[in-house]
Amino acid sequence: MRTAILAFCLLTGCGYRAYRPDVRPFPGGQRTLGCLDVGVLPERRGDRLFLDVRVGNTCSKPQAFSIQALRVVDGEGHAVSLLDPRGELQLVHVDPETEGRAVVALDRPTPTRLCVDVRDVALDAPAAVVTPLCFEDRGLGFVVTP
Amino acid sequence: MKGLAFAMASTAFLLASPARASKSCVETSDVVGEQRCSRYGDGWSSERSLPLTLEFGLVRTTFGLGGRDFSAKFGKNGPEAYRFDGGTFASEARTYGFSLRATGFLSPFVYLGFEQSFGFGHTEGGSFQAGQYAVSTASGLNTVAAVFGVPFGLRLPLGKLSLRGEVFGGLTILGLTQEANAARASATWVGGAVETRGYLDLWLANDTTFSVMVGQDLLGRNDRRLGLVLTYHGRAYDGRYGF
Repeated sequence: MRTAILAFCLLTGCGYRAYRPDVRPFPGGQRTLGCLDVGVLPERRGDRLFLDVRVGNTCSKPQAFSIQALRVVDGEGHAVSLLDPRGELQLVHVDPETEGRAVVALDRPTPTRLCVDVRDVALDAPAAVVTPLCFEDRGLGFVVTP
Repeated sequence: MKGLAFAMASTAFLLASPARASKSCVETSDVVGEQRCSRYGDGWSSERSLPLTLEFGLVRTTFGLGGRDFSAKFGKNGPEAYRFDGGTFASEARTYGFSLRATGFLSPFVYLGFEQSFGFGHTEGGSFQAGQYAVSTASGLNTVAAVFGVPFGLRLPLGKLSLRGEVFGGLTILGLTQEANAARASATWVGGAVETRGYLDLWLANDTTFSVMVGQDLLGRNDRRLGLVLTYHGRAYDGRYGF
């Protein structure tokens, strides 16, 4: 059956986008908020700094996801903003059992330590205590720190 | 046979469209706001996914021949040589073929689309006289069928299963080859098609279903249809998994 699906997708150009957390865990740090798994990883490309944001819906209903509710601070506690030149970062609903990804530029390229608070991004999730994800650039890219 | 040519041409268009679309834009960045070919949420959010489906099916169709008035001619563009009722030589003709269709969901429960299907078969039958022609079908008849039209359906989401009921309205073209006075003749019947169909869908993934389909015509011609269908869905679970 997989072969048939593959042949069909080759014919139609469709992409297989089901979220399989056990097969492809997100790189970087991850938090689970109700039905949503949210992963973030800062990434430096040249002299620019980006946040690679991944979200996976483990449930069979669409789940509200507000990427603008991410709170990013540098090592000194100063807020770092997500750049959104075309105003695209609106509230969306992640399709059931689906994985999404967005690479967003940050407004300050210099921090070597970042903390990302994801607790408010999953609007359909019950309130829970979620600790921020912190990262440090030790010269070979950002790694999660305790 | 012009209808057949049109249907085949439109099939080629249906198959070629996704490939052409995928080549029309080259992505240069994965950064939000800098992407050329997509926007934030494309392909994974309900707001940025299209509730469309693309289906491919293997179909067995049985056409009742009685009451269908075939027009036969010799050669590609020759005049009509004789007419006959399809029931003269056989009660039904069976074809095996494929169907292609695209649908759009007006809501998670209602859809509308366009479908075309082709079938090919070989029918055994007796000989008969049509005007001055002695028509022989003793060695069998090659049968070609094309059906195209518009399905309108309702969907009942039941988790990993869905039930669908639909009405299909369109056009049927039936072609038969036979021998008349020892010369090869082609006979064609063109007429409307109205069918009722039922589907049982099994979700193989959030964007793929495998379905069993049965259909029955509503015009008293005793056409019956049985199919196995693989469908790609542009929106996960067509927007609704269950109640």
